[in-house]
Amino acid sequence: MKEDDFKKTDQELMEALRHLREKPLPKDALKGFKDEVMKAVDQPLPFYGSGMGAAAALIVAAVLMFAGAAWWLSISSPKEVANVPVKVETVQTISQPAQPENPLVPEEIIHDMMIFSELDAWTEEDEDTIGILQDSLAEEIELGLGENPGALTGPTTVPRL
Amino acid sequence: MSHATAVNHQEVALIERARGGDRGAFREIVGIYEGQIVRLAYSVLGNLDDAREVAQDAFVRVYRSLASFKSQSRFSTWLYRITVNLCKDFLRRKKTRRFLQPWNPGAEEEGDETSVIDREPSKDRGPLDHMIQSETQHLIVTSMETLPGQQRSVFAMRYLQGMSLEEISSVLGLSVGAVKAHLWHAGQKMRKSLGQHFPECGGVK
Repeated sequence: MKEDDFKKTDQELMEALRHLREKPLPKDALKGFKDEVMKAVDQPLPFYGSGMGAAAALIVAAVLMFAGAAWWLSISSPKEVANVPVKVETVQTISQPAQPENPLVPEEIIHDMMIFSELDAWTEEDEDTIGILQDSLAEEIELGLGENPGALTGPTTVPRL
Repeated sequence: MSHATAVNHQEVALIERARGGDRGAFREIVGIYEGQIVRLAYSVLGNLDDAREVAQDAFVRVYRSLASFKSQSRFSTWLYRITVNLCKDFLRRKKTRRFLQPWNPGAEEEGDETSVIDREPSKDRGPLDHMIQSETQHLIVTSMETLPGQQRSVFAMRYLQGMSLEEISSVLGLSVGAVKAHLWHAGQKMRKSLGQHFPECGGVK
């Protein structure tokens, strides 16, 4: 930019926009303006408008955000714990405290076996099947397939009648 | 004692009274400067409603900061500086709002509310119709929208307010050289935009 170029452009624009510059602001444009200003002056400064207020609001917002995050973590973490795979032994102890002699056979099946025995619908073949069932369950546990507690109570294998 | 000096003394006395809590004195100050401040804001923003809002905010801030005003600088310079800074803030907020709004191509052509200049006359604009009824002003304000904030302020102060380079320099806290540079770049962009409408601007054809 050269000084002469600037002066030339400056003069051209000053000349071209003269009529706008000299055009007065209409009186209506200021109608009631003074009263509005005095009214606004009387209004108390909003809390967030002051520097201290803005800083305080920022701190409060940060604290609330952290508190919210902490609360969220606190309510979401128990769910995660519930989904963590647990050892089968623990489940066995809880789910079958009354049947220490048949720890691998679900309570419902034992109950059914008793009923079938009373009805003479229980044979030695069935006993053998239970044996197979116990063996297969033991294998599953050893292979880590029995981590899901449901595997112990689910109808994976039902003795044939 | 010259007229200008007398006016200046009167102004200083009013400011002192306003500082002491004299609301009447502050009202007089508002009366003295309201036209200049609304006009300045209008020339930068291109919308009279926005200009009134910003000008009102400027006076309120001045009232609340009177205690911190140092008499070494001119009161008008201080008031102008506050107004220009508020105009810049206003434009920044408006730009952000426009950016955050979903794109609506039809609205822009029809004169959406987010535009710095309302392209369609509206009944609530009132006196603005008188101000921008000419196509010339419409084109200028529309072209000014493309200028960056500082260039826009400098351009408006120089060519729409008629302020001297030194005045602009003291209001914006820039050197005269920096003001010239802003004016030069703004002028080049405006010449391109307005050249076909104003051959006397030496516009690019």
